[in-house]
Amino acid sequence: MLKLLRRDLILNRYIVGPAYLLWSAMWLGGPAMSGDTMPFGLWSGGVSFACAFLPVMTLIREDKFKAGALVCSLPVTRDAIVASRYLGGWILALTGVAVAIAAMLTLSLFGVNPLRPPTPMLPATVVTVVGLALAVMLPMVIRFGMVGVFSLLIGAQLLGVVVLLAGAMFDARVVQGIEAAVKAIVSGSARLRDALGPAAYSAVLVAAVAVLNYASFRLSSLLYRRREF
Amino acid sequence: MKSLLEFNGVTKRFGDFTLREVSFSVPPGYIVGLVGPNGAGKTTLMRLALGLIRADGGVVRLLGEDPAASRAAAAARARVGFVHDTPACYDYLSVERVAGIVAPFYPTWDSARFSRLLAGFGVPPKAKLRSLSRGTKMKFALALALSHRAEILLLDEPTGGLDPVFRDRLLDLLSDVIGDARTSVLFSTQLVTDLERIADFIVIIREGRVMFSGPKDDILDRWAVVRGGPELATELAAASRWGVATTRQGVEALLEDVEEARRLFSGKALVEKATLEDAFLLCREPSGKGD
Repeated sequence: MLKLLRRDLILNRYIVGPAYLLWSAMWLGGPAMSGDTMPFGLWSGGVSFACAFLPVMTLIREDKFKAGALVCSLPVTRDAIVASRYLGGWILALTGVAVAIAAMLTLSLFGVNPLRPPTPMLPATVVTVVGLALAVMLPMVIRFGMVGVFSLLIGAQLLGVVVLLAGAMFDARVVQGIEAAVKAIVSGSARLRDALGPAAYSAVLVAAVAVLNYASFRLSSLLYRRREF
Repeated sequence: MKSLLEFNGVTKRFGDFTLREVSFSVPPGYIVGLVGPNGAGKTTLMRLALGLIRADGGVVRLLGEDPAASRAAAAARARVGFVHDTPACYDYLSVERVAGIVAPFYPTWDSARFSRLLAGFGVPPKAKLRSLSRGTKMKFALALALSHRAEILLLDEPTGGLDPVFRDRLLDLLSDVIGDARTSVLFSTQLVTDLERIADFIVIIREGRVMFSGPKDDILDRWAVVRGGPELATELAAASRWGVATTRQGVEALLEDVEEARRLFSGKALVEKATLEDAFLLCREPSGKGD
């Protein structure tokens, strides 16, 4: 596992460093130039979602260089390769978020405070957003490469368009139903947070993300074992 | 004698191409030459051996393990050296950096040997892979494959892109590698001359089907090629397992017994001992005439 992580670090070091800097600048620039004061949690959620694409980018590069055949010819199991991608993905994404948050906090030392102060929910927010994004994207990227991630993103957009069209053309209740479901999840989460308190609620979220990522890892392993090079 | 690599009735389908019931094995201490034209299935067999693809049917065993299975197969691959037909990847890294990535996966990696091989092959360790010619990339891939004391080397067209002088050296090197009577080589090529030099066993594959599998000396010592006028076509077709090829001069066929061939065709046709090239060209489905 460590050998695979080391390999990924060597292969992507010239990509990841500049990406961190560029993305951090981008994520600092928006709130800094905006007149409004954005909640720290909302901002860090956006940064977390964007940073979840960093591991996707490195996996796409592996496909670009057709390196899969070399890696799978080495004395490692495909499960170990997938596990290293999940672990590496988490490390890459969380480091990206940490760099951006550190940069934002550094900015505040110079009197620029475009965000409201962070709440205790910040770590759980970051972990949840990164975890959800990785759990959904990694199986597609690991099995289908670049085509997989684009199919997922385009498919999600098409699904949205279809739902909206279906609602407009046939029955507005379709859209209202989806809205109601989303609102129910949000309000249910808020009630749960109020009932449990921030610490226990964070623990529940992190546990749910861990379970989801484990399921995603098992799915990816299954798919990768079937991948041919 | 337990084989290091075994294919038994292996089938694999890719679109229009099908590997059909392939069976042969690689015994310890020998070089097995896999020869066939483009698209014959050589690379498919190499990929099956490494577990990069799964067989649709039949059994593949690499060092006693199913290469497409998980943990045991991964452990077995530590004892395998490989060269893919397209060795270049991570073109933006240097030779020594790529070696630094690969080496930790092999407990028996020998850095001194790797450095010696690079120097001997004339591969600059600091050079980026993208700056190397195809031949030099192939030399680098060979150095990687030969640096961890593998028990079996799976070399997919390793002489592709190599100059004749280095090809000659490589063939000598492979002969040395098997000198311990423990290491084996499966070597795919389209160049029959490579196999004449070093192979102990030959597998001729064409359109996904094994046409011949056996000792090289069987072909060189016992086989005959018979060349004659078109009037001999029927008689030759009856005598040869592989049918008759039509040429501009007449017909030709491969027979498995040179004495029998002389007895049947002396005086009527030219009967000569077969070369590997004859075997490569004429070992085919009986219906494949004249191409």
